[in-house]
Amino acid sequence: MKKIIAIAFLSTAAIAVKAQDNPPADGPIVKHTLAQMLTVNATITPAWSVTLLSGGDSIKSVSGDRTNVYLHATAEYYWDERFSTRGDVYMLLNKNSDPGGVKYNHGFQVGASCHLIKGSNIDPFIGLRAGMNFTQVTPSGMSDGVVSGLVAPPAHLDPTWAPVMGINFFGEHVFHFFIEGAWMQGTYRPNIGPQMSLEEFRVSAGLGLNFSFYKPVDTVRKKI
Amino acid sequence: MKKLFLVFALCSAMTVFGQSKFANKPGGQFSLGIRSTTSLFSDESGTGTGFGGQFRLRFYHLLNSEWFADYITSDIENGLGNRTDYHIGWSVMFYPSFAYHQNERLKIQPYFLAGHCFDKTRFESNLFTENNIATRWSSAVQAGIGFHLPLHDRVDLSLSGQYMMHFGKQVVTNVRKNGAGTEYLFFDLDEPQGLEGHLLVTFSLNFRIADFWKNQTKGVQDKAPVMEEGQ
Repeated sequence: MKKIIAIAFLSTAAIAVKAQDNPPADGPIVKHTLAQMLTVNATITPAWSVTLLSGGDSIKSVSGDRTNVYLHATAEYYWDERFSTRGDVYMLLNKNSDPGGVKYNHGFQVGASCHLIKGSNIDPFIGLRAGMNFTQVTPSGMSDGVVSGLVAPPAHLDPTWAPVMGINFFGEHVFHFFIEGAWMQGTYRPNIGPQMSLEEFRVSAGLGLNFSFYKPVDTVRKKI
Repeated sequence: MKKLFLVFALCSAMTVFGQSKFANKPGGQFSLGIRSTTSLFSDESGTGTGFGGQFRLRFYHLLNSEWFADYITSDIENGLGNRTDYHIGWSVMFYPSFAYHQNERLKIQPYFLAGHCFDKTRFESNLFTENNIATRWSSAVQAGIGFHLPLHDRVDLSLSGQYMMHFGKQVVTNVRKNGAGTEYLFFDLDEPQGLEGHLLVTFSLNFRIADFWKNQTKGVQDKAPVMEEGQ
């Protein structure tokens, strides 16, 4: 696993370095910029339980002892080289059929990112997002000490937020490789039944598309 | 009450004083935004998390308005129940003239805000055999401070802290036990009307999408004259 990650990292770094080669002296001026660029990504995202802010073992976690898997789609627009806004959509793919397991945990978030390096094809960033989750768990046995039975808690909308950090590697023209981690925060509060922490760490990686809307002056050709 | 009047008078004086220097430059700007709100120090519940949207209409450079809707969920008594707040309201934002700048990037723009809000609050007990629900409508006033951080010509981040004071029927939550000793929440709706407050910390991201009275300024042309070929 480590070898695969190392090879992936080195190959993307090599692409990034290659893309930074200077153009011929008599060629057009190349402008390296991320400004006015739209990127779109779609990938499969694993998520693991984290309970740093949600009270440790005192509350059940949406991930529990398993790995949740999401379909994750992102659209991001770079207003300039330092700053972008983005929207993210998550859809849970592997629902848990066990009693009390997670049936739905879909959501969206909107936020902003700050990009730490200007004029480079390597683009580390940090960001903050906020949004909503649509969550429901499967029916489970509940008891109030007198009556017991199988109870189905209703689906519920719950606000979420997440700090995000990651890195993009922009290669040739329209593709880029990205890897990022989002630390989701929130609590599922159904009308009936116990609450559940939505805190988990989601890791997304893959290839994305980028479309530049950069409007250069006549002598400047867009590179990215 | 006198203090509130003084603060309002001070803010008004500052805005009027500043008019001569920055006549109508950002006036008419219209922004759309999303916001995440954290509710703190509520009388009946713990920390809550919220999400919502807003739009802003700026009257002139030192006076802005914010129209918002929030959806906030909170815990009551460590998981025994939930509280859901629906807010819809508006605030007026006063920019002190001594700190005003024309949307300079990454330079903080502080403001005072005060406004009014309508609320629906829903209290629920989680126990499936004692799923008590209490709903209350109320009206609220809020005031606080905040700042914008312009990230781009069209985009800013804002952070504000405001205290919101609800006026309406009070709902008192009581922890009770059923026959087996299991705890649940019971809501007492017979309380008289009164005040209840909470602190709201709001983080928002705003996109300026229009300038409504840009074209109404006399003597300003939005477009350069079209030059025909041969001229």
